Amino acid sequence: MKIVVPLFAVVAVAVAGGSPVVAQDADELRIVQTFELQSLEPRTAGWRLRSAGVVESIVSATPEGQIVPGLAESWTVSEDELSWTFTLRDDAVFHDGTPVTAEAVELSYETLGPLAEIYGRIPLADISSQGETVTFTLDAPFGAFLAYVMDPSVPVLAPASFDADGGFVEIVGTGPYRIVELDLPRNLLLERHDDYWGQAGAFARVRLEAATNPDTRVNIALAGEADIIQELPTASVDRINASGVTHVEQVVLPRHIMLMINVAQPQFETADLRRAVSLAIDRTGIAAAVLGDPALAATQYMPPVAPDWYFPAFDPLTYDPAEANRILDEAGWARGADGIREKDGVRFAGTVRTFPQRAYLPVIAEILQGQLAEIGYDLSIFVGDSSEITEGQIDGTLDLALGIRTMMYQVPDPIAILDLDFARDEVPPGAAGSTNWFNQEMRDAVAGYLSTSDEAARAPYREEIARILHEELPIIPIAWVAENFGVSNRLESFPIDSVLQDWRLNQIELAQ
Amino acid sequence: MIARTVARAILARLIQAILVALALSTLCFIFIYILPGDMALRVAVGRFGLEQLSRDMVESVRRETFIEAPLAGQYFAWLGNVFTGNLGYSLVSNRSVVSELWRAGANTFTLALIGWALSYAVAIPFGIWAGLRPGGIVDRVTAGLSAAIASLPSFLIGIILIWIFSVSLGWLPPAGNRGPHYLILPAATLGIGLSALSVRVIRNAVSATNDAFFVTYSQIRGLSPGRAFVRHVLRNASTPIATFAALQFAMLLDGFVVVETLFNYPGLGDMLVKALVSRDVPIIMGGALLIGYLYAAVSLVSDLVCLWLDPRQLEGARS
Repeated sequence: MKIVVPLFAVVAVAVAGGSPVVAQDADELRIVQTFELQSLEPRTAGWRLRSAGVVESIVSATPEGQIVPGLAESWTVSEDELSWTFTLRDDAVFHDGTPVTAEAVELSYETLGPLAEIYGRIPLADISSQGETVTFTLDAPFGAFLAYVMDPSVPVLAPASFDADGGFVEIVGTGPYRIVELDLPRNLLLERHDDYWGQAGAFARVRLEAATNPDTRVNIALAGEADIIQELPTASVDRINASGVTHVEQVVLPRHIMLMINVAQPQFETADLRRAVSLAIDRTGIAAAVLGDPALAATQYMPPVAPDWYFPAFDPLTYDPAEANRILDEAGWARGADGIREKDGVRFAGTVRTFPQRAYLPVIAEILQGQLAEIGYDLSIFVGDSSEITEGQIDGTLDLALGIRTMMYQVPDPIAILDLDFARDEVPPGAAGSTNWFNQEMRDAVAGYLSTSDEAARAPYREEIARILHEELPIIPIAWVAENFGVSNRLESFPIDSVLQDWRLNQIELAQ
Repeated sequence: MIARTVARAILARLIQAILVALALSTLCFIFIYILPGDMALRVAVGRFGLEQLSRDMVESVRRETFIEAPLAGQYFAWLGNVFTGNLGYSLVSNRSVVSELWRAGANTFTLALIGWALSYAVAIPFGIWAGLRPGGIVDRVTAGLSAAIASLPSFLIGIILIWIFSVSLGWLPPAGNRGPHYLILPAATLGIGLSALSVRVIRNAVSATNDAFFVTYSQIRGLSPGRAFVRHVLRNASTPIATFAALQFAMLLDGFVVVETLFNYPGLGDMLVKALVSRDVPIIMGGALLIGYLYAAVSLVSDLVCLWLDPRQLEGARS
């Protein structure tokens, strides 16, 4: 009895409600992220460090994807589009106090450039510096130059970041925050860079922590122990909003949930067959049930958050199982006694590979299993490591895969991803891209888009690329992704850049 | 003579530890390479992340690491390095395996020790109380609670504790490792789970010893119940309890993945699971070595404690 009474008292107090956990430090902003950082080497960490305001580039981008000045205050391009000259701002300094000079910028690009994937696609002939200017000379005009030069694998770092052999030593960047404490792979403590050329951060320190388990992040949000918590499950949104300490803000990202298809298989070899599969998917139902918002149902390949690539005039992808069945009947795929279709001894069946790191993927796979059964497709589900999707693409064993693709996050132009996913012979290794789909029209359109920086000339190529993806369906888009961010009620606003997924830490302030 | 017997027992354990650890590591090595899939791709995903992965990154992993070297050469090179104390570098983080294991191992050891000590701080008094009065109220309550708690998975105990002490009361942080107060909830989660079993083991050992004829005989000869308990019950009941406690502690040492994940605690279990997913061979093999040695060390301590509690075992060891 003596034990039961205090236990009861504790539970009673708990039920009655208490105060938020640990008193938050007014000088410290605490962010809980989903990913761990294995190293600070720019190829691994460049994007994360740019999001955290540690490193920058010569240009930057608006949340709408427009290129704007960064460490360079202006630039010019020669008439033949082969020479890009950037004039650096004179008030930028590195975190070690040294000025951002043209020589330092040149050294940074020359040292990190050869290892960078996106920047490496620029047909670069030479980089040179003179006075306050840096000039990039190209072998051929390249329309995505300004976007690709922002590749976060090639941030502008101080000469002290490299050893005499050009090896990476440490991050000495230029952003509004600098690294002061490091406990990889989970913890990073940043301190305000007081000599930053732009808007100074309101918080003296920023603590970035990784918590890979969604339930843990929900608990942190409910306890009010962090200011921003990334990627909270939709099922917990109401509970968090009712916590009184944290609320959820939904941000639509340039990312979609997609069904990858092995186009070499007889079940998916024609655009009509792929359209039948697409028509069998009730996207609105999936978006409402799993993502909590029917408006997230994909209507075409690119989401409206990438306005230049989204075409409202396209007929939206719809749910019409009757039409899907008609197409399949017409194509000669006849139902067997078990309801599963078959043609020339080939069953209309396969396995969808997916992975559990995005909790909604296995759930959507199960829904697809039911929906595809309606058109006589026998879908098995395999939940494993994401690498198994890529392995299946390479060795030809992949039937279907359910994954996600982010169109923009490293550079503010989806062409970087589209080129990789649809215009190359080799399989992209990130559990994405088309599988055994070859389309010369697409390759020509991508090449055309990349051949000029003249916006008027590029626009038709954009539409052409979007149209081919919409009609050919080498990948079937299912839903666009809105990420749930937990935001502490003590913050004035949450100004995240959804395109580059930049926290914009220097713009976050405490509520008055 | 006693010293020599003890020394022999320690030597036997050391040899056993080395053999077990090497066998464990060898098995891990074999199984990693038997697993299907492209190792370079798995390592590259672990190192760079899935979304920003490029073919060049995968190929650079293939080029820069030893994973495609002949297996026998890899294994014997590793074995040779082990004897010089060099366990190599993580394929994913490129940090030294020794420092990674040291950090995660120290975290796990600290939390395991606190959770384990907490469980016995609760289990010993209640177990003894229940064992001395079988069928009494304490015995019945602890039996019921033990059965209930033992049937709860550890993540559920953790969630309940987080709900009460973090979310509702706001007394303790729900996750992380930024100070001693971050250890309280995960340690309590472990402690509660462990005590559910240990309280019954203690209760049974005490009850059985208390019923033994030598205890009754000592009381007939005039020893008070208290002195009979201290002199005979406690000492005789302690041997099976010490063995069980050591076993429980040893089981904690390879990590407690669910608790580590729930509380975002950077321990050995979490690290080894991630290393397995990303095929980080040096970390997995180093981890297997470490776990083998830790098990042996705990067994040795348990043997020595049992010898101290019951010196008659020395006779057995000698014969």
